[in-house]
Amino acid sequence: MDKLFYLFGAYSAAWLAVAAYLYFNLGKLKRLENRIEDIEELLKGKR
Amino acid sequence: MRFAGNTLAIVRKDILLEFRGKEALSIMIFLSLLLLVIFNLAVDIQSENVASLASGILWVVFAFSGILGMGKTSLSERDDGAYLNILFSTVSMESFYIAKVISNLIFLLLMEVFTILSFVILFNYERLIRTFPALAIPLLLGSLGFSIVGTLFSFLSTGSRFGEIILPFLFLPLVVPVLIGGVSATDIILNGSPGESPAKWLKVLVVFDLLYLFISLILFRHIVEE
Amino acid sequence: MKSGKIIRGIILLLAILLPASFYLIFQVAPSEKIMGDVQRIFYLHISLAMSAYLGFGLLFVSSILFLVKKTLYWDTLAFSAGEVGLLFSTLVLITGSLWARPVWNVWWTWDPRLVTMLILWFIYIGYFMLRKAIPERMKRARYSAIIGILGFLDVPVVRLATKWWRSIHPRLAREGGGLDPLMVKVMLFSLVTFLIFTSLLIYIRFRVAWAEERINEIFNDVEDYNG
Repeated sequence: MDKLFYLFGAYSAAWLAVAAYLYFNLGKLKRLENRIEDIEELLKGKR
Repeated sequence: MRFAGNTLAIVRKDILLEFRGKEALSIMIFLSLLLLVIFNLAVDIQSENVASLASGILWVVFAFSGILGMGKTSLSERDDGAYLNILFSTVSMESFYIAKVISNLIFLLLMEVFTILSFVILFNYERLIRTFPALAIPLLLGSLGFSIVGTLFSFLSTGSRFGEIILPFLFLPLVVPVLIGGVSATDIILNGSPGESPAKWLKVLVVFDLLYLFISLILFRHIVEE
Repeated sequence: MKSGKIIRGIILLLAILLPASFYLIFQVAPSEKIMGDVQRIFYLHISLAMSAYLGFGLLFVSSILFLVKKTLYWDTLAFSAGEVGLLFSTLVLITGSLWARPVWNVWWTWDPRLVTMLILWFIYIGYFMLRKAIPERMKRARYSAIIGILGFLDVPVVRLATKWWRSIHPRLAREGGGLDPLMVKVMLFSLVTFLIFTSLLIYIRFRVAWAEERINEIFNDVEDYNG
């Protein structure tokens, strides 16, 4: 059944894209929140 | 009464300026002529296929020339910061917007009449002239839709970098209902069988015009406010 | 943190719902008589489409709220939802194509629903192009909110116009016939699961955008302080 190729293709394309998007954003979130913490620490010292 | 007077004064100013400089109108007219020539080279318009191609080609030309010209009219408003004066004057934002819609509509209609005449001459398609009274209705309603959206968006895009490039990307997808309605109504008028009526498509145009005029009037002040 | 607990709960819930929806789609739902197993793309395709509309709908509502309240919070939510909506509408177009090919032997059909999705896709591409082109933060928010509102209002009009337009340009008849009741149940289950997942995705995207916003704010404050 070569038609199943399309079924498989659609599900994997969609979920891969969503997983990549999620992974990218979670990584970015972690970096940004660490950075905010650092900056706040730094500002506390200055005040 | 004040509202109408102010609006008309701005329309008059725009038209006077345009006839002195002829910038927007000449851009629109030359582009529409150029597009007609390009279309002919691309699809080879003959007496056998001109009837089925006319409505589609005309409306694509109207949309593209129209959006370029409308970009130009609001650009001149931005350039010298002229529209800022409106903020400090007693003219309301709404009447400023309506005036811009009307003057753009007038330019669009002039360009469209010119395009139709060129089409008749270039492709020997006289039916466009004979059916013109009927064609005027979708032309007017469709151009009003173009003008309502185009006026608003041209102010958006002139406020940004590369505005002229972005403007068609904002404008064309949004006016898809106008294009479908305009093309279909024109096609029925030109080629329709006796039972068919363009009324359904005119309804689409009217709905679009009313909806977007109403919303744009509410939203316009958010563009100019600084 | 109370919101942290809710998020953890939602992730836990999805950890159960997502595998369950896969099981239902591939094991429980009956195979379609004419289209065969390929028809199972349907569950994904419809869920993606509804999720895209959830994103665009949220973009629409947040755009209105931004213009009323003029706080960047709503603008951040608006474009986060819009980005997720754009991702899903792209996937809708791809999965739709992958469905049409084996079943109707075409990559694309000018079905009103597909055309509406495609037009929306273009509108929101324009939305993000405009955002990129305006450096001033508040102006970017104001201008894009206008596109967010006008773009979403176009949905019913485009839908109506393309529906009538198709009636004079008949192309492929896209007839699925009646759906099996079990299929409907599986569809609803996977739809609800996917919508919850989409909400989580929008929330995460919003957190990222909001963190960026805060960092910018801090730098601006420092600049003001030094200058």
